[in-house]
Amino acid sequence: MRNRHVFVAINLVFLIAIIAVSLSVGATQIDGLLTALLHPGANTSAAEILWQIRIPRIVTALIVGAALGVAGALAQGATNNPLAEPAILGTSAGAALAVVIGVLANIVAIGSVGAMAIAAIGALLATLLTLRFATLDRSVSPLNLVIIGLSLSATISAIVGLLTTAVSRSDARSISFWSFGSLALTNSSDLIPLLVFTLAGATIALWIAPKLDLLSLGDPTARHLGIDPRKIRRISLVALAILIGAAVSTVGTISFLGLAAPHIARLIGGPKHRPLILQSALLGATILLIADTFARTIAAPNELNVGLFTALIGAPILALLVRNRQSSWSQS
Amino acid sequence: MISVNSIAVSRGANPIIKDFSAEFKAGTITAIIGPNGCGKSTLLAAIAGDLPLTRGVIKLNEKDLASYQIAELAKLRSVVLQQPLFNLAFTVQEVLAMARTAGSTLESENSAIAKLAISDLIDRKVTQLSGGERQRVAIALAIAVDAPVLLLDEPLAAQDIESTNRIIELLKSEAKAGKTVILVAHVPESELSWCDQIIKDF
Repeated sequence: MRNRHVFVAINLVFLIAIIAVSLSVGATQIDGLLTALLHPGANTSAAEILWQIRIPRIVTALIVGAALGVAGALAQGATNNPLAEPAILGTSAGAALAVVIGVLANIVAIGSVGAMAIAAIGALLATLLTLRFATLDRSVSPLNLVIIGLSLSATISAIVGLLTTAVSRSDARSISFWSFGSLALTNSSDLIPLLVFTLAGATIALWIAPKLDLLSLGDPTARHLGIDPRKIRRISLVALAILIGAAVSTVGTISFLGLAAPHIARLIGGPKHRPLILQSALLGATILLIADTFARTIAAPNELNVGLFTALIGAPILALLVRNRQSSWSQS
Repeated sequence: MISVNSIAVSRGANPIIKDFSAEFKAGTITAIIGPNGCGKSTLLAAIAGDLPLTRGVIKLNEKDLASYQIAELAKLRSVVLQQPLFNLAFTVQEVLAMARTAGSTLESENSAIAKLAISDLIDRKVTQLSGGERQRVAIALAIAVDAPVLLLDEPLAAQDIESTNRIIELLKSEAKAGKTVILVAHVPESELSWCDQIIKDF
C-alpha cells in the first residue's frame, strides 16, 4: 500500500519533469519558451511551434501511452495470462488491418474518428478470433492462447505489410511509416476523439476491475463466487478494443508497452486491478512520452520509430524488476 | 437439501457417470469415495452446477439446479476445488475479501480465519503458500460465504494431522449448524466414521 503511493508520487513528479523537457526540445530551437507557453494566441513562431506542434504531440503521447497501459492490464486480467497484451492477442494487428483497409478504400483518414471506430471493430474481431481458436471459454490454455495470438498477429501484420507496399499511392509511404508506430502524423483536431475513446475504455476498465481480481482465482472459482467469467471477459474485450482502436488508428502499432507497463506497475504496487489500471496508465504515458521525445529529437529533423524506444526503456526495467523481485504471477 | 435423480454426466465424449441417484439432507456430512478416475470429482462438480447433465436432474431446495442464476447459486452453495488456483500475488486477506460478491462480510471472513486457524497467514501472498496452506485458505474462502451447501474436493489431501482434525471438527460443526456438507475423500472407509453417509458405487 505504502509502496503504491510512493511509486505514484515519484512517477508523477518524473512525468512532469519529462513534460518540461519534451516541451523545450525539438527540431527547431524555441526562444522565449515560457512567454510562448503563457501566450498561446501570440503571433510568434515560438507560440505556433509550441501550441500547434509540440503540445498536441505531447498530449497524444500521454493519452496513447495511458491507453496502451490500461489495455495491457485489461488483456492480462481478462485472460488471466501474464503474457497477454494487445500485440500478442491479435488486437493491435486487427486494428491496424481495419485502418489500412479503411484508408486505402478512401473511407477514413489516419487518426480520424472514423478510423478509430473501424479500428476498434477490427481489434474486437481479431481478439475474438484468437480467443475462439484458443477455446478460452471451454478450457483455459495459457500457452495455446499466446501461440495462437502470435500466429494470428503475424498473419494479419503480413497482410498489412503487403497491402501498404502493394499500393503505389502518395500516402502509402506515410501509411507504412504509421504502421510501424509513430506519433509524427498526429493532428491536433484528432485529440478530442482520441481522448473520448480512451476515457470511455478506461472507465469501463475501472468499473470492471474488481471482477478481474476474481478471475485470477480461475473461471470455476469466479463462478462459484457469483460472477460470470465469460461476461466479464466480453466486457473487457470491448474496452480493450476501444482503447486499442483509438491508439492504433492514431499512432500505429507500438508493441511491448502494453506488456511492460502493467507488469512493472504490478511488481511495485501489487495485483489489485483498480489501482493497477491507474498505475499502468500513468506508467504507459510516462514511457511513451520519453520514447517519443527521443524518437523526434535524436536524429532531428528525421523521425525515428517510437517502438524502438518504448522497447529500449520498458524492456530492461521489466527484466531487472522480474530478476530482483518475486514475480507477481504464480510460478506454477 | 439436494436430490440427485438418475443423472448421467460426460466429459467431452466420455460418459463418466451413467446413472446415479442420491439424497443429501441438511445437517449431514456425505463422503464420496472410490478409486482414482471413478468420477468422484465429476460427481461433485455436477452437484456444484459446473457441468451440464446429459440426463436426469439435480434439485437444490426443490428447484432444478440448472435454472439458478450464477449470482443466486453463489449464495446457496460454496465449493472448494482440489487444486485452488492463485495466479496473482494477492494477500490471503485480499483473497478472502473476494467472497463479498457471494455475500461474505468482514465478520464472516474473520470467523473463517479463526475456524481454519490461519490468522498467521493473512498478510502472506497466496502465491507463496504451501499446498496445505492454499487449501486451508480456499476452505476459509468457501466458509466465509456461509452458504447452506458446502462442497469440498479432497479437503484433507495436503493436510497434517492437526489440520486434518481441525477441518473434520469444522465440517462437523457446519453440519450441526444445519448445512449440507459433501466431500470427496481419498481415505479408507474405516476412517470416515464422522460422516453420516458414504457414497462409493456410482
